[in-house]
Amino acid sequence: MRSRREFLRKITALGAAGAGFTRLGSISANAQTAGGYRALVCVFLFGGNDGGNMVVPLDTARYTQYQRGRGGLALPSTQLGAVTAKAGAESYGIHPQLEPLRQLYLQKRMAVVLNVGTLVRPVTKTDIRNGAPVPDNLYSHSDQTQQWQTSNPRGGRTGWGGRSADLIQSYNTGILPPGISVNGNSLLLLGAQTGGLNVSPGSRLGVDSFGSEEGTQARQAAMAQILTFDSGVTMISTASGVMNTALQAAAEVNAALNSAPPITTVFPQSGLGQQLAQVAQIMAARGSLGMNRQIFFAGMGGFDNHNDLISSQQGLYGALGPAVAAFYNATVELGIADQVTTFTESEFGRTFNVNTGNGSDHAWGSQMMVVGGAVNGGDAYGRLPVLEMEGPDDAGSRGLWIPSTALDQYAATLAQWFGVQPVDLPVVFPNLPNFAAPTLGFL
Amino acid sequence: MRNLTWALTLLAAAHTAFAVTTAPGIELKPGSATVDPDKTLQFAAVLSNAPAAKEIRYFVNSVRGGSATYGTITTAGLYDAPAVQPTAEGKVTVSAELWSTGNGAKKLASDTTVVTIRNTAKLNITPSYKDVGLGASFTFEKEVTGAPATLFVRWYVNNLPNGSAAVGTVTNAGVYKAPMSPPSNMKVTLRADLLAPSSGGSGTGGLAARVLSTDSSTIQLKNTTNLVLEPGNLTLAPGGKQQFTATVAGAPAGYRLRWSVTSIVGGNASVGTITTAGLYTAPASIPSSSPVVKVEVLPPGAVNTVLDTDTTTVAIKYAPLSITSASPGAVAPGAYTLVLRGSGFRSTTTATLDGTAVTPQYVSDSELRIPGNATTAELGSILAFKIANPSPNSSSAYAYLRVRSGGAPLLTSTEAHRLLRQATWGPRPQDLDHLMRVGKTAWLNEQFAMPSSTIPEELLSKSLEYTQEHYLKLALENNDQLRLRVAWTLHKIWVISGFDVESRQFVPYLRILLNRAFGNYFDLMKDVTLSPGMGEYLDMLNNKKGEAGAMPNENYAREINQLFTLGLYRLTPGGAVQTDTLGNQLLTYTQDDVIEFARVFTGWTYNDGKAGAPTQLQYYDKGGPMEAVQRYHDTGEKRLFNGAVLPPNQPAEMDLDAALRNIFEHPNLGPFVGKQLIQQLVTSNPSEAYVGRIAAVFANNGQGVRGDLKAVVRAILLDPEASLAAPNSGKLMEPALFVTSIVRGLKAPVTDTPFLADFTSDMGQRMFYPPSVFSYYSPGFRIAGGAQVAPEFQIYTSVTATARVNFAAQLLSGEFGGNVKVPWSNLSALARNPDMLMDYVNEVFLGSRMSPEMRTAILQAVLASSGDKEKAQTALYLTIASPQFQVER
Repeated sequence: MRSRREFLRKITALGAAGAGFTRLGSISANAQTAGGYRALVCVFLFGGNDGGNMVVPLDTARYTQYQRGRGGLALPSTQLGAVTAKAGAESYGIHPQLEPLRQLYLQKRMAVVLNVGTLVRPVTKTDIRNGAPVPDNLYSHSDQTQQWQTSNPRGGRTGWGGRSADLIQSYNTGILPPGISVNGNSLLLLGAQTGGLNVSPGSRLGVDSFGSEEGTQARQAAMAQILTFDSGVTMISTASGVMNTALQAAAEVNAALNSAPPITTVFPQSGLGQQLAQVAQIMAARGSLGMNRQIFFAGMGGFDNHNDLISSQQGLYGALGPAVAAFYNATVELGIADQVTTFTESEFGRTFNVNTGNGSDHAWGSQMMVVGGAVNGGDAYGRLPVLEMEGPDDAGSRGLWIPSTALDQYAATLAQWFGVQPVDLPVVFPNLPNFAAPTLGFL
Repeated sequence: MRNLTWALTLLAAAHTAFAVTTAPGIELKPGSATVDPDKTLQFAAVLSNAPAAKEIRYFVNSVRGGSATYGTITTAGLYDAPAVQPTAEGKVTVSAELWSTGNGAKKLASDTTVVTIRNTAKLNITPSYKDVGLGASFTFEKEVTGAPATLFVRWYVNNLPNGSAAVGTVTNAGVYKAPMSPPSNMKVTLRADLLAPSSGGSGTGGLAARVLSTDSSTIQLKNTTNLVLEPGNLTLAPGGKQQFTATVAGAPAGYRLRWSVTSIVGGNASVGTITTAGLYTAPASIPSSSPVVKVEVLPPGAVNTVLDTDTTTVAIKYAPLSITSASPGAVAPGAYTLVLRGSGFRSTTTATLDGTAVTPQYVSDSELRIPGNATTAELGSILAFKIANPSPNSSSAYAYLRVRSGGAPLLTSTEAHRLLRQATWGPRPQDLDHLMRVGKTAWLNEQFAMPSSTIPEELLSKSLEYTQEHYLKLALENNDQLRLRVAWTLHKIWVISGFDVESRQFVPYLRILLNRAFGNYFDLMKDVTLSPGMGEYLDMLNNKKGEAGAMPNENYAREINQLFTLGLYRLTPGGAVQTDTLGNQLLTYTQDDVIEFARVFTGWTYNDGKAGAPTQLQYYDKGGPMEAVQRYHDTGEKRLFNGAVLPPNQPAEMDLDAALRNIFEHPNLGPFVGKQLIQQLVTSNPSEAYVGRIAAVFANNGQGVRGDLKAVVRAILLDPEASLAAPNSGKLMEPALFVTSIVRGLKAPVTDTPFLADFTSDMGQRMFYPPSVFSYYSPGFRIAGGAQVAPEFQIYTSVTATARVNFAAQLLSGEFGGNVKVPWSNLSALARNPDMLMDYVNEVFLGSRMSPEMRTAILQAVLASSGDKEKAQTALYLTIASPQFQVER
């Protein structure tokens, strides 16, 4: 509504923290060879993306199953953007609002990963009935959101991105942490050693100054001191740590963003569009920031469509597709299209079965998309479940698909491309050895 | 050459003519001579044709035998020159006459010789240069050579014989006495003349006496007077008196002092007066220019002559205000008289309190009284009076008066502060004072008894941001703080969001929260469940029974259990997760339970605003709780928790009531809700014992009633653990509380509330717009590698932490202009006393718990700041921006 903030926005180089300018995470002992720039960009679809309508099988048998199963939610095949996969053996329709991404698929810059979900180990319906372990609190937003970021079916305290970053942080020479969120605090980026930095679009780092020069200096010095006090109180030391990170990163990030060449690619004005524009800008400054490995966290909400899924998805994908496509174009502009891989996450898929509100409810496995020049695109990985309610792949009665591909495998594929050595993958993903193939080949 | 030869020839001819006579002759030899006084010269008379009887007579200047004056001559022709050259030319005529002797003796011949007597007299006076102080005497020495010492010497000063009073006198003995007053030329000439004796005179000679010799000396007259006037500088108040002293040295005896003020001898009323004894009395009012007190040293009898002078410029100023004491130091609300003692008070002295003029009573220049009336709103505040004298010589000083309730406090400010942070939107000074006086129980009873704030009807049809604005305003200003806080807390548990729900539904929902804040949890559950806001948000609205393969919407069924009432896991009474023997966490419900409850929550639609149940699903909200359309309600049997079964064919209302009751009776409810309320109000990491105590009150309020929120809230706030400040106790202040706590602590009226709501958004909390049903942040969010639960940290990022600090900077630096009226005049006045400022800021914002090291760090920055206001800004900024303020412990 009323914008009341036409204030002078001063960004000060924060002198107070200047003295102790150190890397924001600790430095691992073994320096590694940088080997060029690589970045992962997570686009988290909060609320549980109904992947069942994002990628639809178009072969007659399965499309019929689809129509029957989804009822009022089924999209006409004519509306779907047809693509083929697996050397033409399978055909799929991509949601019409994702046409910009379908184009990338056709250019082999985008891949689809089918029926991905959180798993402890591969399970069948029978296994589950027999008490095989499944992730905690399936179908719960908070728990599954957490697990998709930690890749830990019991919850976990650190993100798989952060744990990967712990292993590759010596690639970077700059002081920023490898993980940067443009969408609030992200567990994905939190490692044991490295934290995440938040640089949301429209917000800014840097502490405002006011008053006299001598007063400003005195306040900066005092604040630097205060942030060292009460370090024995966890919440205070945590808050001080966040503030210190902000202070130290401010000058660095602001200067780098100011010096980086402007990006001419036009991004949509949507929230995700602006987040990804911010990511692109930070990437443009990667050189002056001394960053060779970065992992970004972006996201959009609104996917919890218990009602009126069809119309909601129109809007959601209408925002998602152009934003991700624009971002890909920006990486082309920056000359790093092959060095940036964008991927989706979402806490769960939704019931294949429609509810009486023409929506779908919380479920499990779902489709993911991976975009980038390094992606072995134009193909689909994994397999769709048997689209049959109470069928062999339904964990319940309404089409709560048991994932056929584990989040661990999906994430490990990304992490390995990012720089995690194969031998280290089980360090990042402890359950990975439970699956036959640690990685999926889409990168 | 030819003419000279002719003349010589003529002389020779004449001589030849005498030679031919034979008359007696006499020739005096030498024919001319020069002789020094008192010396002799032998003359010889050469006779020719002289008779035998003859006599030679010698004369000096025709006096036979000569005289003392011109020299004597013996009969033998020995001339004895006088002691002193007799005339200026020194010429005397010595003559010799040849006389015959006997009768008839007659002069036969004569001859003369002119003797020149030289002037050998020499007068020398010493010294030839002398400094002589005015009025002083000095004797010059004279020495005469070449003349008798007895000759008279006449002394002159500047050619005046024996000098004068003006240039100094000199005696015949050469004693010079300098004048008392400096002459126009301080260099005078002393001269002495050696006088020839006057003929026949007394020896003193006349003024016309011939000067044989003269000599002179230069006398440099010196004014040695040194006058020092003390004091040399002076500031006096109008009418003030000052005794001056003049110290004189080197002045002539008998000198006189003359006192004046600004060149007026003795001064006058407008410049001040001064006595001949040097007592100065300043004028009654401040003159246009500073008076100059002057003292002069005058020689005796002088009027115009000033030997020395000294001045002191007297600044006529009112004395600066100085307050040495103010009493009383504290007052209770009501009339008071603040008595100030010190100096410099004037009848025109003014006083202001927080920028508003008050009328002081002038008692004397050392006492001023300020009558006033302290209000209850000022309780806990420090009234800072600025006392000022007007121009000219304006000055100011400050006096402080703490307003406190009477009687002994029941709580420390730390204890009161902690409870207010837990139970309100931030402690104000008056709240601290009040709570300290009445104690926790009485304060809580006041809060429970207070009528509820209301949400005006007009907000139903406006953007939700108006409601957001209104609620912030209530939180900032209204007195039912605890209800507003608990209702806000319930909103964070029973989440709906402005992203999906408009005012028309949000406002009634908010009213439910306010209405049920101290009510029974079951009523809250039912009211919110049936509110169209929740119906819209979590899809119970128009949720139809299963049909044609479609199943009822599970959304509300899942979230009411997971988030609003029971949680995912079975809990112990202390809120710990129960596990089986293998360590597996025991789930509260399964997907099947969700499906069962989803069937319960079917058939509900908007209230159609008509009597009786609607028969169709409604798509327009007419207001009021949702109503059931029975034909859309699933009437099958439903299996609920703990083996409860809803029989088939029950109306929607009965099913709903029974299902909510089924949840309400679930043993998880007390620990689950109790723990969340504790986390929202008190601490993120309550002990199991604490949760257990609260769960017990939830189960039974003491009168056998389950779910009594008033009792639960009371128990939470009065629990001993709520008063602990253990290292892991407390919580991070959420943005809304951060903003309101600052504004309330500052007692800053806000005229533009939405503007503040914009800032909570920057800090990651857009009020009434939680991003999802998981609220603004998750109650399970952990920090420090999972060591501690700290929900609010989920939205504490580098960006939002910076936004908090920058909010403080912008608020305090005045960037919000008149939207937030920080009482700077009072705070700046407090900054005059940095220790007092620090104490006050510490008490209001940190409950007097600032560590010494933090106080030192902040005080250092305060002292380095420029001016009173910036000092206050610095103290507040560093305190508010500190993690110590933001982490409520």
